[in-house]
Amino acid sequence: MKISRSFLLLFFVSFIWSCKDKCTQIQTYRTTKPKQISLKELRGGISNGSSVSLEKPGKIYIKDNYLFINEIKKGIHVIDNSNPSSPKFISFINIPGNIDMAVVDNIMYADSYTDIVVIDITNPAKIGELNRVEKVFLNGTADGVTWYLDEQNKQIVDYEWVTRTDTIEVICEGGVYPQIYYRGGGIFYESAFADKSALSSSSGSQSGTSAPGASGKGGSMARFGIVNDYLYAVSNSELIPFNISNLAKPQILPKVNLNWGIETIFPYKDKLFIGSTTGMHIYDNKDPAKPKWLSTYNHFKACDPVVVYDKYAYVTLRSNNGFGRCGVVNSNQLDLIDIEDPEYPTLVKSFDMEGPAGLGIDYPNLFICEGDKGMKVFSMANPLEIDKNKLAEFKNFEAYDVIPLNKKLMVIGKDGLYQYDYSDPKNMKLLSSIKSVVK
Amino acid sequence: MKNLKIFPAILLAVLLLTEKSFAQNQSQATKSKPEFWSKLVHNTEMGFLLGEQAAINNNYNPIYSYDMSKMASSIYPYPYYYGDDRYSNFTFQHFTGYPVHKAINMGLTAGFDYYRSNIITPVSVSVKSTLVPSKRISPIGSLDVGYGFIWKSEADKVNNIDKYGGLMINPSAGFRIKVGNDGSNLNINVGYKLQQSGFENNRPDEKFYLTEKRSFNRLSIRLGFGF
Repeated sequence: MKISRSFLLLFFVSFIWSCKDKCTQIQTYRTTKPKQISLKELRGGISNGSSVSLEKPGKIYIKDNYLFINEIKKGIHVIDNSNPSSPKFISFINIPGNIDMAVVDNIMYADSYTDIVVIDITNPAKIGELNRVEKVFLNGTADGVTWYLDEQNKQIVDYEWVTRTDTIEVICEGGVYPQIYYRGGGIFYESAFADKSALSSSSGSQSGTSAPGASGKGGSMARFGIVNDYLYAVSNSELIPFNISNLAKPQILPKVNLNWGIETIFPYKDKLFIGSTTGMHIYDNKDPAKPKWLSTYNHFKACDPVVVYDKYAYVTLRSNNGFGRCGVVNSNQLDLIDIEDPEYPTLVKSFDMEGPAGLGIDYPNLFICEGDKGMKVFSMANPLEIDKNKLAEFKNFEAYDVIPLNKKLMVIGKDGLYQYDYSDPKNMKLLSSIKSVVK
Repeated sequence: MKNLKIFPAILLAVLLLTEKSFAQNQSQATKSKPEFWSKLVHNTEMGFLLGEQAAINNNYNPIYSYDMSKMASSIYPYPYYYGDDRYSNFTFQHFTGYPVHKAINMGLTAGFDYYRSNIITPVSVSVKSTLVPSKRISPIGSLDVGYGFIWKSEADKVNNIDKYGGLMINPSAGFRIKVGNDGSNLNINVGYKLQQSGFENNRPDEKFYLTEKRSFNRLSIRLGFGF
């Protein structure tokens, strides 16, 4: 009996030593990983590649029969769109770090991280680098991450998204479920928006309705704008004018400092409308080399591409659940701003939206992308009653930016590119679509 | 397995009903005791599950890491737990068994274990043995092996927390003391209880997937009444 008792005692003591709660978590999440690109490598020249499919489409740009679609930070797809019902991939221009573009005649201006590259696209299948303006941008934001120029080490520090899986030990029943915030290159991004912001912060180019016929047309999310002999580019905090009277040799002009958070530029008549995360700046460019500040229309922090028609500016504000890349805002809306007196812009009316992003105007039609909620078409014949004049709504794709041109509408989103004929806006016809290939 | 969450409740109800019918049979008297029901034995126990948090040994704490290769790892981890890391949680269970040998009862056990923020209902197959049945005081031993069902709260549904239970193993040993002539007894036992569980919190919109695997290793101490 004694033996069995002592045996029992030993038995339990051994258990007491091992009575510990153990909990492990397996977390799979998206995060960013730094990568360096040397300036030498960056300036090694651009090249032609073959274009077969969209992967992560960014901004779009139209010039004559060509359609240019940015592949975020990789380059530009050149598409023959002479028949919008059957667009054809022609080639791919490899441009590291590219997110924006603008075209005049047969010259394309494209950003390549810190530089702007001048490309002869006379034959898109066989392009050549004509020139390069170095060190135009010191940093930039695309795809939810911000890269910067590291001059000391002569390199670009960028970040790429990766999916990581970590197994970590945690306190059992710790009581709080993890909150996640993504940090891209030192900037916090709301997770849900991380990959969508690609489109809002990347650009196409809006050459503006006042631009000469020789340039093309971009979307409302553009960071490049062409007005006559001037190219305007916006960085996160600057407006950078270029004189392009000699197309192949853009001359950089003194930069105009703006607040941080600049997103888009929309030239209209003799004004530049600059969308930022805090509001809309209006610049007078009667002297195109020295845009002059006229006014700033402030609103709560939100993302806001802006388009202008006649005496109104149309600005979209997008909510990101209280916290986000574009700041704190709790409404999704379209603001109608009276800019008849550009020095005193006033809010006329706000319309509720679901999550608006890019927008486009071909009077009297107003096209508003609603992100993953699709796209809506309104009649803006009476700007005060836009909400009562919805003509059509599309919900089957994600839409971030649009270009309406000659009754053909181009819609770009994460899913790819869709082209519609809007001769009858109430009954738009899908002409073609190029779906992104998810890798 | 999700659909089985009602199962432990049913089983518990069945066990209690058999108890009731057993009691009725007894009161119906001595004439014709149904063989099976009269032979069933019961043991109701309650006590504590004692344990502590194992030391956490992570290579890095993502939010504070400035290692370049991990710089952007920015999952906000569980907060540090500064309180007492020793736990003692209430446990209750009921065994209904059939004597397969004069020293061995086999049956089913179901009950409730109240962990810090989860209630688990383990349902198990049990073997209980009394080493010296004839003596007033005898060493006893038991082994329960089964599955612990976890109870889900409304908050879990709201927060998209998908909890699941898991394997339960509970060997124990102790003593029983007869307290009457009808076979009723008091018993005390000490054992080891392993209860596995976990949860998933997947947020595809945020491309965030989380699985937590929990392994509760506890020292069980119970006082029981057998009849």
